[in-house]
Amino acid sequence: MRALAVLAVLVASGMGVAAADDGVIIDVTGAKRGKYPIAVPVAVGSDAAVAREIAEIQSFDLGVAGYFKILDPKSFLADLEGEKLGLEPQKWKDVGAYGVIKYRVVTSGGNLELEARLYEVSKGTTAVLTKTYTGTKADLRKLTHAWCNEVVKYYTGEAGFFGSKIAFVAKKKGASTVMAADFDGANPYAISRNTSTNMLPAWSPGGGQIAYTSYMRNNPDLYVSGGGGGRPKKLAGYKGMNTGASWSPDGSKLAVTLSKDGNPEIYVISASDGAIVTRITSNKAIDTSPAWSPDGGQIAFVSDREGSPQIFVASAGGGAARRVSFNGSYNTTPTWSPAKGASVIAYTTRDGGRYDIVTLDVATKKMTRITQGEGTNEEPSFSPNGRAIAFASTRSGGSGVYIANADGTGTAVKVYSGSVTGVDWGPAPRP
Amino acid sequence: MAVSSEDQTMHIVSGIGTFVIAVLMVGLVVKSADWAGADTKPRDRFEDMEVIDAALAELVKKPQQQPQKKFKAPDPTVKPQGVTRDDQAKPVDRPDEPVAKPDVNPLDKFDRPDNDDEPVGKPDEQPVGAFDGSEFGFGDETRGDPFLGALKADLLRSWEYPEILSDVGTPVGCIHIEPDGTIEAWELREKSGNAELDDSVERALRDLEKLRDGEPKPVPAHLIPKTRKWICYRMKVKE
Repeated sequence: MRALAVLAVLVASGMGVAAADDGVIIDVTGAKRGKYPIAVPVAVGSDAAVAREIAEIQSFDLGVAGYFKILDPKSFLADLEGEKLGLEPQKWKDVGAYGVIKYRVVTSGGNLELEARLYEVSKGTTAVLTKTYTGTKADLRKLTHAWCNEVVKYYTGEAGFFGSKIAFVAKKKGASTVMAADFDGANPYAISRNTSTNMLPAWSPGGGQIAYTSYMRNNPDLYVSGGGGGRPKKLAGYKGMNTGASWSPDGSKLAVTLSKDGNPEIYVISASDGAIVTRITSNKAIDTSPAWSPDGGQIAFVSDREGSPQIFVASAGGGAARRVSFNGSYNTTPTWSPAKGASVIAYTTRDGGRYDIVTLDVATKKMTRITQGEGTNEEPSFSPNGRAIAFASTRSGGSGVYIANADGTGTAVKVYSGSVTGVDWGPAPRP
Repeated sequence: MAVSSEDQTMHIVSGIGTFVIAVLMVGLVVKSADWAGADTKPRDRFEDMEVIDAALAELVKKPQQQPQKKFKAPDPTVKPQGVTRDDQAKPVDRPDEPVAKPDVNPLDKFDRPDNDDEPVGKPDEQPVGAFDGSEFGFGDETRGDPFLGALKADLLRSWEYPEILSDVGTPVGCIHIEPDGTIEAWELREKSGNAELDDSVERALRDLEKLRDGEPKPVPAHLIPKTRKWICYRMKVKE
């Protein structure tokens, strides 16, 4: 009785403690928020090699998605042979899993059928998502990416970026070739097919075209090729440089750097014939590297008008520009996040002699460091949903194209090896 | 000037006479003192002195000074008077008006805004206050019971909830703790309707049980009556 009396006093004193019928209730607030622990065990009873490849693709995709923590298969306690496509929830709870992916793959001749299920451990033995895909063996990666996009969409309501493509410039023996590949570096192929210098590729909003600058006719002119390569069409061949193309969201225009009057300035040109639509900048400083905002209203670019290269933003219709980067004395290669409602720019910054990637929320001025102290990191480009950033790096893991979470968490993973520049992430894959 | 022999003789005689008279007078004075004390008892030399503390009576030695160099004030210089332009004119030297000295503590100049000294000694086993977010710290601002505070902090450390899941709901989880500090039982007393959230609370309670059973912290005697009942936690993901 005396204890209950003490508890009553605690309640009265407003200490967050309340008496229960047979005890005491204490308010607790503030769970640790982290990535979603998900298990991706290799399917049993399927073609082992194909099943293992599917598991690897799923683990990679979900690992770079920015939402998930992939659990180590060595820790699994479940009887996979006994479970097959089913689930014994407590076995997965015991290893910390919240989600579990089960799948079965059947190959027949050159064909393939993939049945995949997503379980939420807390919801018992019934799968919360089930999909079946059919295709050829050559479609294995594509089908697995499609399944992973469904998983992301189930949890977030937005499409994943698996199956999208990246473009970059691979440098080899004096030549610079514009390349494209799956976002995970698979299936690389050349876009430019000349032995000259080619640079600064830019995917069109629909992914059907790539604009890039080439010296193939000695002057740095702007060309457009199909997304799968093919013969390029010269779009802008003004005197001087025709570089740094960035497509408008509707694909009808491009922002480019032209030096036809002697000094590099930002212009908007027509995507159909290269005719100048608007001149964005006009001053004695160097203005370059335009990047069109996802809403189409603004263009970010680099200018040294205040003494050192910094990021500025101007209206896409022209007019005064405002400086948005104020860290350090060297900030270049801006790119906008396509995430809905965001007003975030990623760019390359020189920090203590090194080059790193940072993001800047233009509205709140909040900066987030994406890389730090790992070689040279340059030319960032956002994934189609804004959750990841691809960039060129020379870090100790080897030069190449890397992908990192756009919130600065986690570790960057390499998707393509080689000396590269000019990374540009293409649009989301068509469903 | 010539001096006669009679004058010389007179000088010599008068000098000798003066000397003899002086010797006789000195001898008479000394002898009279002896005569005066010959028949009296010697007086106590401390009789008329006051007793004072020896320490106070000790002579203060004057500190020995190094030889000081003598300085001579420079001669006042007379500035040449002449015609100057306005832009060359120096401000007229005026005698400084006495400025009242601020009433400050001379030690203030040693004050620092922050104490950046390296902490010394062994740090406290448990931080004072509620670094874990618990109101059950034991600092003034978070007065409460340290045992319950530590228990709640351990529960919070065990509670993880994926950021992509809905944070709606307030499940209630309860534990029953033995006097030896082990957790004898736990249960999800009230479900929130959010299965993932309820699941996260169950995981947290299970992890708390493992933690406390692995390293039991005995319940303080004054809390044992309380802990005979269930201790329940109303869990909110965020404010």
